[in-house]
Amino acid sequence: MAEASEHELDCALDLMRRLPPQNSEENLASLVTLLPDLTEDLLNSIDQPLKVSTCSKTSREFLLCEYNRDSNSYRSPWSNEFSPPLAEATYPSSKLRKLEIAANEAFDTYRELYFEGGVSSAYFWDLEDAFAGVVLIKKVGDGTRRMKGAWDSIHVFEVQEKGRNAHYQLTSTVLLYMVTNKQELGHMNLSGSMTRQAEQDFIVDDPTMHIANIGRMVEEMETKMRHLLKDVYFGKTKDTVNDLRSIESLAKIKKQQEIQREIALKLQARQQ
Amino acid sequence: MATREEKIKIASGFLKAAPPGEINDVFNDVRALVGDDDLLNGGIVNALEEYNTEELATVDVPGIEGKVIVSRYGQIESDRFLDPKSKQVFKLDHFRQVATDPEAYTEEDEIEDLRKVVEKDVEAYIADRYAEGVSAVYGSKGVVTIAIVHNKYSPSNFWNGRWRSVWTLDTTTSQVKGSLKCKVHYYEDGNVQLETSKEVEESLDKSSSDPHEAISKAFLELIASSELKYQKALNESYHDLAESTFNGLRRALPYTRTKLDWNKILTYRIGAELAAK
Repeated sequence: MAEASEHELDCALDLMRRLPPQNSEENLASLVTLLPDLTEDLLNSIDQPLKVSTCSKTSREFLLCEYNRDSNSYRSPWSNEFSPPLAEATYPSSKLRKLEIAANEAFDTYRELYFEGGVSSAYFWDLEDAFAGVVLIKKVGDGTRRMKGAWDSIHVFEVQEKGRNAHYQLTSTVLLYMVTNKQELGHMNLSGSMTRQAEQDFIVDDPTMHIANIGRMVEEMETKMRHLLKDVYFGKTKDTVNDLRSIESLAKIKKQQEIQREIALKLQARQQ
Repeated sequence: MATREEKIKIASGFLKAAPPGEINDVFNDVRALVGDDDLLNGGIVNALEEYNTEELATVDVPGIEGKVIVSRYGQIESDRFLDPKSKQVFKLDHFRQVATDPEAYTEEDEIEDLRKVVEKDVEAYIADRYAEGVSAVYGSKGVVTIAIVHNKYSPSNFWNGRWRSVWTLDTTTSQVKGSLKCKVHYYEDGNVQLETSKEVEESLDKSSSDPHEAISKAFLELIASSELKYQKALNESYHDLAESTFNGLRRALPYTRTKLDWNKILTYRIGAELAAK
């Protein structure tokens, strides 16, 4: 990529890290309008909430992303067919497709256990001497107690086999959107996106072990990111609000602090 | 290729969405993306004016102690603003948020006496609840308007926040309206934002024939109790979001309370299918 384009892409990514994450779809569309030459790079480097489609053959829902797209068609992980149909399309090799089928089954169980609903899809593709894939999960909240929410996770991985061992590289992105409206609160939007990476080696005695290995990494990563979002990121924004406006009288807090300081000084004096 | 109008529209949209304390960072990105300074200079001044007045930008004005709020309640021309406390009008460069050319403002509204009393009470209130908050109290055509803003920026720790309150009292009807807004951005290895807004409408139990001190006291009591109620509701919602909404999206652990046994997971599925048959 030319240096000028690289600088533009850096600025576009910096901008996306600053603008409200809940508007990322329209912001990405605006960036593509401004920088048509960088369309491909922008679409590949800015994660978006996942779209859902229904497989015409199996009637099961599946998720759309750049990795199951070929021109304007998307491949269903359940039927392996593109919709709308394509005359010439790229499919995973038959060996990899078997693994992909097993992965879709496994992550469907994982999704049900952790998300109790939602949609999941896994797409694999062949690399020279290796393979790569993506695991996608989307859950839209049911809107009970006047709170709406959506979770999207995008786990992209690459596998390198080395004898009995395999090396896994994982890049995970979680997009979270939560909004609530209540009489005493008005409107509240708490949204965010974060990306993390991990690398690990595992033993692979037979190909299906890849699924267990990737599954463990995805499970661990998602659990970690959920904890970070809930306790660290949301906690920080909450603390900041209460720093901006004090629930307690600042004069009262100051007075209490002075009293505490006096007591501490007196205690020190007695100990000497 | 985007037209000039499209570019200006997109650039303006990005600027107006800038998080607290990050307008310059957003501007620098937008400048690089648009790649046409002449176009930007001519096209985005309206967006910056809207940003500065809407977000209650605070500026240093030569000769005036402390920060001064920029708002549409004190807007005399597109780039001239009134500081009601010092009775000075200053010129504002919307691009750089720099104030110059202060001049005395001689027009006096008949509500000025009440405005002054409210101003004193608001300053005491701000000092007690907003550590480094800035306020302005405007009076015009029978309406007293209070603007409050508190910014806390900590870019080295990747967070910035802004609280804004605008309160109006219509002395002819005793109607009080409030608008409370909060924005927080936390962006250490991520991008998490809080955005809230709440509108309040109340009626003040005082009329314009009451003494100014009594009106002001009742007005400030209403503001203090509304803002406290609102802040408590916001903290409760944080709790509800974390406990209920968040859990409803993704659980910390499966309902079986144990992590998955990935070696057995394909067998689970077969087992479930057998059980279903």
